[in-house]
Amino acid sequence: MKVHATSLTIRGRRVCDTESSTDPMTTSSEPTGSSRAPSPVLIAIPAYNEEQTIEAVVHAVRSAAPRFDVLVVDDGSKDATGATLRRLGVTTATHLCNLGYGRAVQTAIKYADRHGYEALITFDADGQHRAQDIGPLYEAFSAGAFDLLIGSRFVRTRQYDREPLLQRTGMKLFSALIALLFRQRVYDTSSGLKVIPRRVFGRLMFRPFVDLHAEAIAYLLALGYRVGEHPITVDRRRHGQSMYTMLSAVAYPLKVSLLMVLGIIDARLMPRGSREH
Amino acid sequence: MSTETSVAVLVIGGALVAWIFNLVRQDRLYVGYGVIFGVAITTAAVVVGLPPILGAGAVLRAHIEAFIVGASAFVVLILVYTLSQVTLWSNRLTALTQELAIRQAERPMGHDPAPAQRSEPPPAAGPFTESPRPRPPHSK
Repeated sequence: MKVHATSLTIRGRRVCDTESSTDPMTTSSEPTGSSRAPSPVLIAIPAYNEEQTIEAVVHAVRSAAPRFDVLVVDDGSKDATGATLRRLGVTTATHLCNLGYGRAVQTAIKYADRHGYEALITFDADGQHRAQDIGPLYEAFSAGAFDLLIGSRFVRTRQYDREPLLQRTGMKLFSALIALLFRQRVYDTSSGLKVIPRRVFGRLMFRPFVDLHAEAIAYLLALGYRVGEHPITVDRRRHGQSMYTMLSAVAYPLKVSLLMVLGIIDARLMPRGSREH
Repeated sequence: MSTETSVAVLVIGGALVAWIFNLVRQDRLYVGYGVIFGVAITTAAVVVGLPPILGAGAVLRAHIEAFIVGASAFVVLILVYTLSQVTLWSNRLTALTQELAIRQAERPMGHDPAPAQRSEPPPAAGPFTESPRPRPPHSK
């Protein structure tokens, strides 16, 4: 494991705002684990039944971002994903059963929080993201004062035409909803490539989320955090299945909408002091 | 249905929806259940409660209606309570699964403690016995 206590001095300053919670895994300004990460950034790859792509994705990420640590969250895969990860020797957190994409990302956030990482980059395991986008995305994150930076497919072109009809409708709906509620346009609310800094780990670790997309963006915006987008290129999926099905096309928008509304109410009910960051 | 009953239906329905959404907000009820109950109760309350207020409902005996409304509300209450308990257990299992996954990730690659570190002797290898699995350092 790539964790050493000697990196303690690197992060002598306060690195996270705290959130009071009774949960034993509560985040704090200091990592809850006994050790700290030598790399400031963790790249998390949530994977579920991605045996055909995971090896190429891990290799690509490792070579594109050799300074960053990599964690794969195997979300209870039933195929050979686990065996492939063991062979690759990549740090892996394996869920004993499938918990869903949102929970897999939350596992990565908990891990990053515990090991003192400054930021977490989420990266999809299906091979659609390009590893060479990680560098520019993180540079943009470091240069700007963002609390969440989204790798966006649409911020440059603003064209959703390449997406299937159902997903396109959902993306436009949530983008419009966020624009209506916060007067800020977020073009790609369902991107799996994001940079999440340590200061918002506590906000995202324990709340109910479907997959930390539009509902998480709305929650952070309601709390006054700054959300930005950086253009990336996404390839078409060649293997495996999308996590969005016909059934989820009906249930998903309702769940996300409800969680968006409840998140905004929660943020508004939060005492003023605890909202500041 | 009398106007009083209609108002009661709408008030009870509204209170139930508010309670359910508050449970979802606190992560005590799975959001999928929340959506189902929210849509069902709102639809039922509007369909049953609104026409009489607008003067378009059929006239029925008020005390029977009140009983049906009360019984339905009770059934929903018990269902929501049961599902919220299921959600709580599910959340605990999720937290446990995540914790186990994180601890597994924290374990060094290919960690296999030396035989001297083991608390019990390894079982003898035979044609019908599995080779002993490595023990995590946390279990010492």
